[in-house]
Amino acid sequence: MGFLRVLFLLALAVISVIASQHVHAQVTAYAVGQGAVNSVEVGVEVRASVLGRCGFATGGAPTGALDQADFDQRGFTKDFAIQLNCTGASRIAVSSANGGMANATTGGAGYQTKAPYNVALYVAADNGINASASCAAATLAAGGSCTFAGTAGTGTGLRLGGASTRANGSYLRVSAPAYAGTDTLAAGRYTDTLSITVSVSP
Amino acid sequence: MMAAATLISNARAMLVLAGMAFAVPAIADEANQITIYGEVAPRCWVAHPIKVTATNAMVQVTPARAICNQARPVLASEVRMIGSDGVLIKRGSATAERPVSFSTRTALEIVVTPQL
Repeated sequence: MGFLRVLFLLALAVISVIASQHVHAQVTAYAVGQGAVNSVEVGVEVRASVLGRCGFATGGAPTGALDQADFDQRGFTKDFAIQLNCTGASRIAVSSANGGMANATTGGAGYQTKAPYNVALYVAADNGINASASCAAATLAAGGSCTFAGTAGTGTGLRLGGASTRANGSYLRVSAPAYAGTDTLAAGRYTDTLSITVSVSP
Repeated sequence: MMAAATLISNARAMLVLAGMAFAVPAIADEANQITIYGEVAPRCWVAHPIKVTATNAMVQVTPARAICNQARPVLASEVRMIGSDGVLIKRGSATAERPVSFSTRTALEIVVTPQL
């Protein structure tokens, strides 16, 4: 038994030494003048990923205001330029604070205090593809049914399936024809605020 | 002096920089706003205006409606009395003029305007 135990320990020591040599085996590469010049081939595998960057380009965000007198008779239309800075696919979404141009006064039977208008989106990518959609402002309010209603996210908003890093002619258009509703539009000042957001899209 | 040697492990060096985002958030949301203002001026108008022609056989009266877009309306009625020669004799408030003073040829003008 004692011999076997010694033999076992010896075998274990040999294995350990071999393993140690394998793990710590080293090759020395000498510089010129410091020994026999040799070279060592080393494979270095580098993997890196950069997730999509997406936002509005500097000065490319759709901002500003439109003020139209007698819009119930004249209607209005105005384009707000958009320049994205997205390295991949993106989504852009719009939400309306009032779901239409709203007047703070109380209406009453036969009178309307919210005026409808339309919002259209056109976005283009660097490679020429584009996406567009148009919705009534009423469908851009919270919980609205417009395809680009809400806050942009991976699954929310009008999807542009390509990178857009230049001025490609993208825009947001607000427009309304002369009011033609059944109820009379009450006199006064009307307002609405649109919030536009952009996000990367898988 | 130690030999200027570079000790390199004989094992393949693997440098994995996986999932590293270069100072960019995964989702970059930016909010921007557009404000839309509009003005509806106070105004009144006649809905479906028509020209009424009265004949001896039948007097057609189809009332026209004056509508104001919820501005405070001002209503004024005025009579125009015209002489036989067609010259305007008198012009005055419809409520102030007595019917007996109307000539045979009289026009009535009703004006509805918003109070500004």
